[in-house]
Amino acid sequence: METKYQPIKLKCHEQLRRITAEYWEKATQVRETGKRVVWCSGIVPAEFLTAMDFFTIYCMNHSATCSTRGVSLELCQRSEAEGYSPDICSYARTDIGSALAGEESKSPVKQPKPDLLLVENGQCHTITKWFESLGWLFNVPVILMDVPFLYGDMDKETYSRAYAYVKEQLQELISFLEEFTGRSFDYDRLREDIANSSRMFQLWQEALEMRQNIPSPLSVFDIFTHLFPILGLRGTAEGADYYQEFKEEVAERVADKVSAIPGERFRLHLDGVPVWFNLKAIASKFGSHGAAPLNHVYTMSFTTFCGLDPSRPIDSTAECLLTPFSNRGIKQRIDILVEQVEKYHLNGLAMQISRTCKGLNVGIYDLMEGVERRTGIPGVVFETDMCDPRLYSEAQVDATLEDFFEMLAARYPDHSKSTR
Amino acid sequence: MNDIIGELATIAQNPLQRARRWKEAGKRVIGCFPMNVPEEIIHASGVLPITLLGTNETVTLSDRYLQPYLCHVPRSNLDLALRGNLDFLDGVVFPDICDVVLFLPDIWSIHHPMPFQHTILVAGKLDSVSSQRYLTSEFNRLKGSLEGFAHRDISDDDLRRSIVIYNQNRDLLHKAYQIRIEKPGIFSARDVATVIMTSMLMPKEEHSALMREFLDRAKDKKRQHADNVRLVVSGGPCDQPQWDILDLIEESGATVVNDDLYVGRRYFATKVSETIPPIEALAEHYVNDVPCPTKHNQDKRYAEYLSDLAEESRAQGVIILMVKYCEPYSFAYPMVKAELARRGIPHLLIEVDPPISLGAMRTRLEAFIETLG
Repeated sequence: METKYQPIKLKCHEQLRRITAEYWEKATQVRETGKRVVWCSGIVPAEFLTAMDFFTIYCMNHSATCSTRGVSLELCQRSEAEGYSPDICSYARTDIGSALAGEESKSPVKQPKPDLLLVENGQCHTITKWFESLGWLFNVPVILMDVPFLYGDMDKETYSRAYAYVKEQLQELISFLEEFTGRSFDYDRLREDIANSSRMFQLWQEALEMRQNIPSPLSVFDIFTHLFPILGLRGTAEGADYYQEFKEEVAERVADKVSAIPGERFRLHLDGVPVWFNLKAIASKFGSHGAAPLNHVYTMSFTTFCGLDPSRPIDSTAECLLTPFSNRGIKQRIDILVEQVEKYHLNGLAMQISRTCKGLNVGIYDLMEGVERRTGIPGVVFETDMCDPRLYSEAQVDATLEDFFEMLAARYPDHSKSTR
Repeated sequence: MNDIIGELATIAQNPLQRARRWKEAGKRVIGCFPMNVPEEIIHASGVLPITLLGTNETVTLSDRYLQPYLCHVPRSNLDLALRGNLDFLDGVVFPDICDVVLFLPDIWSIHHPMPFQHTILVAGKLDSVSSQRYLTSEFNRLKGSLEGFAHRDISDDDLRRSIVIYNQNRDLLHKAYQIRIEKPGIFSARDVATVIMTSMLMPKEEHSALMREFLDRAKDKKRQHADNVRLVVSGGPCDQPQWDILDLIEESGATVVNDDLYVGRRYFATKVSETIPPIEALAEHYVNDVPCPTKHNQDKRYAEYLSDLAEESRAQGVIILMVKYCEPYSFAYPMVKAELARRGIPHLLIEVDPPISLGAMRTRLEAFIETLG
């Protein structure tokens, strides 16, 4: 049963636009303010940088923006001309392509060049290679936060050694920053920035928790749209204030029984990296069948920073870096996803393979089967990519999803009646 | 010499056979995923470590769990396991060197549980004090796991003895490479790959005995094609030697004088200290070994190291065997390409995705070698 899907924007969308525009304006003026620029991966100890007055740029966010604006293919091809294989991460090819193109880059945003690169491998190992390439192109230092992977049934002793290792690296980062900037490290500012971030992530998490309601006030598409401040505004009071507003609006939706996906019939987990260049069409494919993807890798990964604690800045940062979904093996991912299925009353697993994202696609069949076995909900695998449209077949995705929605409708016949 | 290389070639062609015999003699065998597992610790526990290099054949059974667009060796090793070909192994050790091998231990234990399975959380960076310390503690954990499995303590003396045995083997392999650089044509690239690969598959003590004889007899051997084009071959991080490609290179008028392959120089390039405490020595060795794109190290760059290697070997060109879908090595390529170009060293990139078809490769290789001659 198909109906035309009309996405409902949150009112704070306008606020988001303003924040994003201001952020990029600040970015272009950053040289005049004398701030240093650091380019970061997604999950980093950002407050250690903001505390030393760095302006933070998030490379994955940049690639996603380029993909959304339809320029990622051209940038990928620019990298490929330099010898980067078309099989490797398309986020990396997009960002590196933009760096290679320099002033000629079709990127919709003007990024100030980095003075420093900070990368963390708890989300994948590939990203280290991406940042090494940037370090080579810009001739600036690359700092790797090396975060041991939590796999299988890791024992406590192994975990505590991994934790000690990450803490020690944070100390090394502090020493490096002192030497790099010629200033002593500002611990007061660190606590202040961590307090802001902690408040921001907690508010975000509180809003996400409201997905427990039926119908759900938030879909992953809202979450993708409103993701930018948890990266770009880390360490600021402005970021926390934004999610205060966001959360209040989500609470209003709950009170008014507003469904993020109108006519919610099925509540789904969506895996893989968003297909930024085709996200509206993807949302429409789900939305028009009343299929509501509520849960996503991002809702299980970035929330790690809820654990930031200004009274234990280094310890709590180390814990947050170690424990996101993205830093766990398949067995632990199964456990976490099973919890989410129960908590958010999910009916199905839409396992989107992002073809060039190894960190999410290796083991995806076992992840799906493991969760299916323990919860009894069905899953489907379909293939897309985050930035490379050549790896995306609309017809194939449509066919697979159509079958899946039909199967869900047969499996949950009541759902079409009760919530529509 | 022919007899010895013949004997080794038989082992290399049927890589699990020798280890199976060892197992049948009542001893234990542990398979190690590439690359750079500190085998000395396994050896010191009285267990035979062998390296799991997969095969160069098409993979079928593991496609259900690992997509065909992931690199070959993890898929091939899982395929071997699912076919029952690894049933003789007592265990397996994974070093988490890349995003594929990172997830493999959980997948492996779901579909092919073994009596012993251990994942070493190797440090991803080698340029900080904290990482060497962490690596030492991880190698100690491997030692502890093995002690539990083998029901015996592994003393420092045991470890030192194993380190000495491994270093002796490294010395012998090093000698073969010296001959190769100084008198190209004494050994074929296939012979050298055979020698290294068998070192990964049999007890080091036995391998060293064969190597001594092999080197001794090499003295009387005549050089083939001494005036051929001198080449360095690099890449091949985890896979079996690409026998046919190596043959093809040398049939096309070139001689491989040195390499940066895992089943090659990378396997023995540097020695482990015999004086400092043994586990620390192994961690120090890991950190100070030749650079590898699977590790972050700002102080030792892979592109420079490979270019230096080519220059030191007086190579006229470099052939890069790029395993398809291997992210660490693929990402390193543009930097390698730029550095080789800066130094005026020509190179040829060959993508490797078994099973290999030599047809188109032959023309490219011949053309490349001809321009160097």
